[in-house]
Amino acid sequence: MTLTPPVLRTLVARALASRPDELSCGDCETCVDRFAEMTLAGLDTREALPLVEEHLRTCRCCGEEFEALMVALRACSAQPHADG
Amino acid sequence: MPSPDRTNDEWLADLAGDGPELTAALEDLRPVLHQALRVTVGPRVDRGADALVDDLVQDALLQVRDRADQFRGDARFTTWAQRVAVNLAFSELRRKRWEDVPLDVLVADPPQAPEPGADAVMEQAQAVGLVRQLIRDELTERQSTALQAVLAGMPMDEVARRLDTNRNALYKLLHDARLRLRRAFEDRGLGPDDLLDPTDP
Ligand SMILES: [Zn+2]
Repeated sequence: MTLTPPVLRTLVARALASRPDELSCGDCETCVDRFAEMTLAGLDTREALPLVEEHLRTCRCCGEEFEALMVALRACSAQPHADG
Repeated sequence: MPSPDRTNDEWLADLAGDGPELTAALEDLRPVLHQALRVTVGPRVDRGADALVDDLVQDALLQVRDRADQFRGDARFTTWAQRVAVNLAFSELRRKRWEDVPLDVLVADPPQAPEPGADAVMEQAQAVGLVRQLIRDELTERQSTALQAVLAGMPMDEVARRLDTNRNALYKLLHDARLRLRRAFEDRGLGPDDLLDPTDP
């Protein structure tokens, strides 16, 4: 693999968008359950938890796990008495 | 699905015990986690999904029990437990998908001198050369290796495993690397448009 121009372009854009106050994966993990329940309830997460929203958008692993969690929660809420 | 009809505090109390309450709590949680993994992991594997989901549910139940004291109480316990299960399952899927890929095949070749050509091609080649040089000069070897592996598409938890660290620490390492590169790019007035491929229509 070489650092091809399209890959480097992504890197430059991502580096220039980096901010000191970004959440780490661990920080995101501590907030994501509430974020998921707010999303499920149709509440405005972007306003309430913007850094979580940003981390989920830019971190592929956390974003993938969040999408899967939402699929699971939606399946769960479609079942009677399944929400604990 | 059976009704795991407990408050968060009741879940925690039952999972902290070791008698029939623990057994009952785990058996009530099992179908919740099983459905969560069936609908998320099932579509991602070609064969043996049922057995894989059963194994992952078993591992997830143990992890939920062992980590229950980390639950912060700001969501439903079953939401937290499903997240623990999903994260465990997706880490495992990524591990299986990437286990045969060594890190060094993802790390870049040494930069080559630009071919002489049209001005736009030359400018593009200079920008590419500059970014590669800044990666070499501004980052530690560990940062550079991790960054290149992630850019090549390797998931962060897999890069972390190969570098004997964890995903959270790797994120922080990469975040520091991006901030260093941001300063270097800003100092040189370098933006994404400098890396547009002039041969693209
Ligand atoms: Zn993350």
